[in-house]
Amino acid sequence: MSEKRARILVLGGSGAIGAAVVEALAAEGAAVVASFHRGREVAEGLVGKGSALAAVHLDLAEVEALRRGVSAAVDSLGGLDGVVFCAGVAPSTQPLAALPSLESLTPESWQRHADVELRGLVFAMQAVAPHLREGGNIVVLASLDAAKPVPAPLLSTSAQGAKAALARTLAKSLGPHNIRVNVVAAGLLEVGASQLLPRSLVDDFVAHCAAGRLGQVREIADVLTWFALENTYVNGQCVVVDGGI
Amino acid sequence: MRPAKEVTRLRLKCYAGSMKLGLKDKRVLVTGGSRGLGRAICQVLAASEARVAFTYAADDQGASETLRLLAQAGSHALAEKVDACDADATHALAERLEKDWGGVEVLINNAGITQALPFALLDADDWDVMMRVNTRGPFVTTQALLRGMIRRRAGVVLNIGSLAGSRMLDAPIHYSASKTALVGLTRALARQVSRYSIRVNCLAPGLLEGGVGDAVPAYRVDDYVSHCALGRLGTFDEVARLAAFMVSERSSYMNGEVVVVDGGL
Repeated sequence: MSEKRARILVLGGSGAIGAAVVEALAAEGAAVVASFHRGREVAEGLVGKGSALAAVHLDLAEVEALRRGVSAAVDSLGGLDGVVFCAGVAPSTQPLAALPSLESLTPESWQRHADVELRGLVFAMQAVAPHLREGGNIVVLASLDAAKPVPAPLLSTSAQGAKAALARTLAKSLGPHNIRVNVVAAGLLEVGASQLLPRSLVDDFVAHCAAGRLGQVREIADVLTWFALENTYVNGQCVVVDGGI
Repeated sequence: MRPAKEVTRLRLKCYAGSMKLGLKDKRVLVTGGSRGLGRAICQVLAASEARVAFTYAADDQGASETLRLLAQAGSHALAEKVDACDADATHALAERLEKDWGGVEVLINNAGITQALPFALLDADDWDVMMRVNTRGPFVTTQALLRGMIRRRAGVVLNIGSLAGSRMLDAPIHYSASKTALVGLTRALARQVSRYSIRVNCLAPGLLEGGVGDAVPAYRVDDYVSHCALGRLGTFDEVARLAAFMVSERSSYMNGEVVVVDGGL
């Protein structure tokens, strides 16, 4: 066992996967700060049960506040060894099929989505990288459409694919500072998008998934945890965790 | 390349090696365990308290050294002098392990060779030897071990590929072709045997200190290091730790996947 605890910031620590990552990291002995936007109750619950040292409110759309929030999180951790980025557009109750197609897409809906999914990620990376002074891991959660052709809303796919490209580029520029940047692309899970997709699409996924089932949150959280704590030489990769599609 | 001293310092800055993988008492067979990456994989697995058996083709001294290192870690491993390409011997080994151990839960197809030869100098015999060791070996061993896994409706197979099988590199073409073949083997097999709750994945390392990297000319090693974002070669230990994760239950939804571990080339 290591003598020192790894200090990890989980951005988007109040979502289903983010919260599971916080708990998995804590179970491995890491010191964790979880950021939240809307999920204050979940994030504070993680602090309450001792999984997170602190919960910080961060709106990724507010770049200045983001920088301050990241600094505060790093201060409370006493340094930073890794970042797990799980933030994204919160699953709404709107069925994903209702999201715009190529024909119905408007510049406004595109901008809104890109702002949260990509602008937030880019400036979060800008805010965290200088704090990884001794090197470390940045792990970004994405979904399967980042890597494989699956029926998915155009807005989502564009953002997910961009995450993989961004990780490849950041891996190159941050690598000399001993910072590894990777993406974990999750297949369809028992929670999240599978609840919003038409039943026929979910059935289709399961039928084509070699594992023959949806994934569990724990299974994605474990991979993110390994990459945050253990990885020393995987860099710039998009690792797909989908049961085999 | 970073001086060795600095690489050591960088390694100490991580927290690697402490994640609980739940491999205690798992019955694991590693092919090619008498040296290099295979030995490191055996060591990491033994440190996780897995039960380790490894094969080796010829190097008795190397196998003894692996056994000695594992014994130091408190692991009483099995070393089996079996050529992974020899179907009869491999099937006999599978039967023995079935009888003595109750079967193998995790198979790591690590045994492999390389040969530094330009395309123009390559002859058909070179091609055959490379394909025999690097593709027939994993096929034979996997088929022999899968019978028990299918019967038990559980198992994990990890194939050790190479960056040369995933990226356009100036690598020996028969070596690259054989490692790309492992990617096909991984994906098709994952599809076929997942109905028995067996997972199949591939780990594709870039250049590592020692091992097949020793056959790579120095100017190409320098070229690799200068294009690698982390600015150094990988180590057996860090690849072995990824292998241990990929065969553990902590990666239970990874299937048919190829994970490249190259420092960011």
